[in-house]
Amino acid sequence: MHPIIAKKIVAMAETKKAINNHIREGKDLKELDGKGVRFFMPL
Amino acid sequence: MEKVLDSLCPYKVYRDECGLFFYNKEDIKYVVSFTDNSRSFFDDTLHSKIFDFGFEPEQKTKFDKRVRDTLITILIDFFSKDEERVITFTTDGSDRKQLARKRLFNFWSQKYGSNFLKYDIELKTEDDNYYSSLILHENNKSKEVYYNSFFNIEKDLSK
Repeated sequence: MHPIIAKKIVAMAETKKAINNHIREGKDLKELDGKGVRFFMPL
Repeated sequence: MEKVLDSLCPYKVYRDECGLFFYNKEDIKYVVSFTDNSRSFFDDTLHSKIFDFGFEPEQKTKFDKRVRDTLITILIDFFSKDEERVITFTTDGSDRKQLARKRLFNFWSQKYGSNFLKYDIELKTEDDNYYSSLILHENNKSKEVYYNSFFNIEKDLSK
């Protein structure tokens, strides 16, 4: 696997971890919005 | 809060400023998020339709079939609005259950994803294992471009 792809996968997992930790701690996701995370309203 | 999908989902789905949420039968809140993931693709022509999908309960709770059906309904609705949309799904390994999540997502894909294409990538490091998937509608006009941009970095770097 190319190291850039590996770096990308780890970055995606770290972002997911940050979001999930925020949810489990009952924090408002708006605090993450714009800090490397941009939420989208799909519906 | 605004109700969405209430006639289609086993659990009523609501939305707020950052995403969707619903409550399971134990009244535990599940948060569903779609975040912009266009930066993970290296083709500048691909943008604005690439999202990382995630869901997490606020507290530990048993995963039930109605949660599964609600999440699948959300995903099917997501693609029905625009078949050119693309989803990535990366497992969270903070509780070391990422392989179980990957297997669950694979099972859903096999059972309910007949109109979708799913490509997986697995990264094993000394510290952790990572599983990520790319999911597209079978009618996506740019599916080969998305695939190449996600997996074939050598090709993109040689441009």
